[in-house]
Amino acid sequence: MTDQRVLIIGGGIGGLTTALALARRRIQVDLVEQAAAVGGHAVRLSCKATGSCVKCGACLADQTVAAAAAHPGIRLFTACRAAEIRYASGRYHYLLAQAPQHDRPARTIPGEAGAVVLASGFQPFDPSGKPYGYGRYPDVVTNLDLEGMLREAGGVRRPSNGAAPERAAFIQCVGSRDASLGHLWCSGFCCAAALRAARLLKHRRPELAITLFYIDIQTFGRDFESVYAQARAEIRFVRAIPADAFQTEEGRLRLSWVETSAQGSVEEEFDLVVLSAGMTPRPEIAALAGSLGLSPPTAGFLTANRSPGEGAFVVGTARGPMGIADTIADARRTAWDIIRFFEGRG
Amino acid sequence: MTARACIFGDTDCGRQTARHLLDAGVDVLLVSRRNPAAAAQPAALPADRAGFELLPGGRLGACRGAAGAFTLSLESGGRTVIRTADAVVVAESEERLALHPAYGLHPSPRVVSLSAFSPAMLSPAAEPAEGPQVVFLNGLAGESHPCIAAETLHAALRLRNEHGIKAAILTGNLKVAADGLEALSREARAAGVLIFKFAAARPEIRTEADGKIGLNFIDEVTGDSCRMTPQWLVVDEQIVPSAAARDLARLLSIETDAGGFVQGDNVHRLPVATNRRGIVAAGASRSIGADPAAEAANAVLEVLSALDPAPGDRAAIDPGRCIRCLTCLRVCPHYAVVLETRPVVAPAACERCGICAAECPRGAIRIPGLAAEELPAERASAPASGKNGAPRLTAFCCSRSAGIAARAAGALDRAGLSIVEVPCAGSLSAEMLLAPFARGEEGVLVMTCHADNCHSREGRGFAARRTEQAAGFLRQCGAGAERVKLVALAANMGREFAESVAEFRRTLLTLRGT
Repeated sequence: MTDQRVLIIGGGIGGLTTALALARRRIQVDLVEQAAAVGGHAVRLSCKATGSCVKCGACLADQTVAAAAAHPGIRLFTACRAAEIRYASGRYHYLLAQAPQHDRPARTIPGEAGAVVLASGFQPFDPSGKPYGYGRYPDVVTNLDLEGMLREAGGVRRPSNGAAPERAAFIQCVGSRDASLGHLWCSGFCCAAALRAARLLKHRRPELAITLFYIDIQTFGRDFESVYAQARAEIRFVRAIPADAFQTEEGRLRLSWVETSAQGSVEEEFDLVVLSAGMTPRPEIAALAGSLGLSPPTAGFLTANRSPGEGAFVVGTARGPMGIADTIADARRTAWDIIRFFEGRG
Repeated sequence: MTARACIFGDTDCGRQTARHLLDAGVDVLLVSRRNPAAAAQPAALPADRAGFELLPGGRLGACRGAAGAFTLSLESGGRTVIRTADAVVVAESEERLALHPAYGLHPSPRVVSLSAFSPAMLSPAAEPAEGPQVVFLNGLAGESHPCIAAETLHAALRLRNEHGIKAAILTGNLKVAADGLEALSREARAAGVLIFKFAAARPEIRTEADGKIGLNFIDEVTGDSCRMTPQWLVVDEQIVPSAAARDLARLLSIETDAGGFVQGDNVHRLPVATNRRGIVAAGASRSIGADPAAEAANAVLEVLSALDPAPGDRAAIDPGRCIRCLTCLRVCPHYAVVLETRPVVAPAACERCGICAAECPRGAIRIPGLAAEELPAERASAPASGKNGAPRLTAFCCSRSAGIAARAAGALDRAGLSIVEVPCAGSLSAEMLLAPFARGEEGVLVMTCHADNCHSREGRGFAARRTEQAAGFLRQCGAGAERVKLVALAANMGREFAESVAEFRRTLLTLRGT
């Protein structure tokens, strides 16, 4: 089996985990990532430990990147895309096009594989079209923006003036569970991520007041029940999604919502609003699926995880929203499916 | 010799794991709790395959040994059977706990649990009722799960669509974080299933003298008072690990999570590993609602990796120095030390954390590449202290966390800094922590994983205790206990790594003045 090779499209945690699982079973891997570095969205996430680990799994991404980069059976091509993939007599013939890098000019790399894995991941929902002023009001940020602040700057400040926020709001389900957008899915990861982020902010600055607007808190399993109970003691939960946000003359953000029809509309001001933007399918996924003989997407995601009888596989959030733990399990399952495919067992 | 895996659990996941392992050339012993008649389903089992053995009505009595050489004492039909195995898979089923008591209810023909409920039990001449005839409770006594939400929504929708019966769901957080569930909940609403959500308050549930059920609550959306008198009340259930799975965890010394599932709540165990190499937890044994096919595939990969030849760099106990105090046996978090005429390390089970080597009072345990004198140090090319004033210091880093963070620490000033990676901070003895001072360095950082994130469970705890010891020694010599410091860092904390080093340098500079 040592002459077998797999092409993996996408270097997020799904693609990298698949690559490692295959390489450890002595299958060669070419992994192509369009960004300048591998790691995907998961390596932008920050550690949420509040003294002890809170099991977010973000550190696994960095470990996976380190392990994949060190494995001799994996060739990582960054700033690169699969320009051409042709399926002929059981083999995938491909041409990778790599943009110029600091130490070498642009190049094309031809290759051949017995299987291809589509691990192109998700596109974070862009909330610019939602009435929360994202992109116009500097203190309205997304969950990924918040992760970036925690990871790169080590703390959270209001982007408008660099001050520490006094009253922060998290709005869940932005771009998820939204029939007006045709997004009839729950993104799965955002409730847990918001609870952990909110608790971390509270842990660092107990005087910060946090309100979390939600439809249903989605996390479950493991010790979630106790984490949720602790969070309820520290954070104000409001079961409503604000209709809109306006910036006041003082530069604060006024949110209005209807908690119950009896109570009517409520308004309050905050100085930082975090939008929990969900997962959406990547736009190029339909074309990629078509070129690999995979069933076309339904509701944007690729629900079938492989092409019948051929060597094209789909892994991770290209199939639908999933968190880090599920993505890892999905990636290893796919690696095993590929090994069986190479052995002629399906 | 062909390797053998022992699978506990005659479940879909267990049987798929068996089939894949047989395909991969691994012999399989499947221990089924079912009696011989019930377990003998040749269609479902790979019974005709060479290398397959079924032990019906069996259960584990005791397990000795470690990966590559487990000895299992199995009880089946009143006799004890001894088998050896290289690896063990726990693939038992889950159980369901009806939540009647949590709601203050008693099971009755009108008050049934979700899995016992079927539309077929409703008589066609159902008495007319004001409002819904069937009310489902979901997630009002403890948080629910998407599996339960899916069953509840499907049942309510079928009542409505196939039987024309009105149904209502009274729910806490409606868990829709699974494929298609948000769409299903909308379909149910559109079909006329009433869904009432409760944030803080709960419905008042009464059993009347005639056995009828009465529910009173305030609709949190409209603020209206509601009363329902359904003919059937369907109570949700909690999914828990089976007693068999919990017994196996105990007998195999496997960590469990807060809910008793057979896998410690540690991200490094994901997806199907346990604290013991060669013992795998899959399917409903370890989590709720996992896809059996995906779990089986993961289990097979984990078993195959445990069967790979053990690398030559594992711990070894020098029989000449060992005094059989059994400290190693006690401290090994991976149960890799087995007792023969003397304690020996099972290489296939050893994770090379080095906790045993650091704890051994006789210094009898060697790990290639880990002994103090062999430690690879990434020596900084910067001048020693004095020339530019930067204190010389060593940062001992767990290779799973701080070691990765150090490589990503862009803004790190490496002047005078030695970074020494160790497999686990638990491998650092007090002597190793003090050695840099003997070389004239001014400080030592011990950089570990966060609590509950240690691959070797207690590695961080051991490192903390030895840091205390080293600090105590420095205090006694008047050198300053602050010169050795423990810092917890995750692999993705490169920036914090650089900050910790900078802050520690400032401490060391302050100490120069005293």
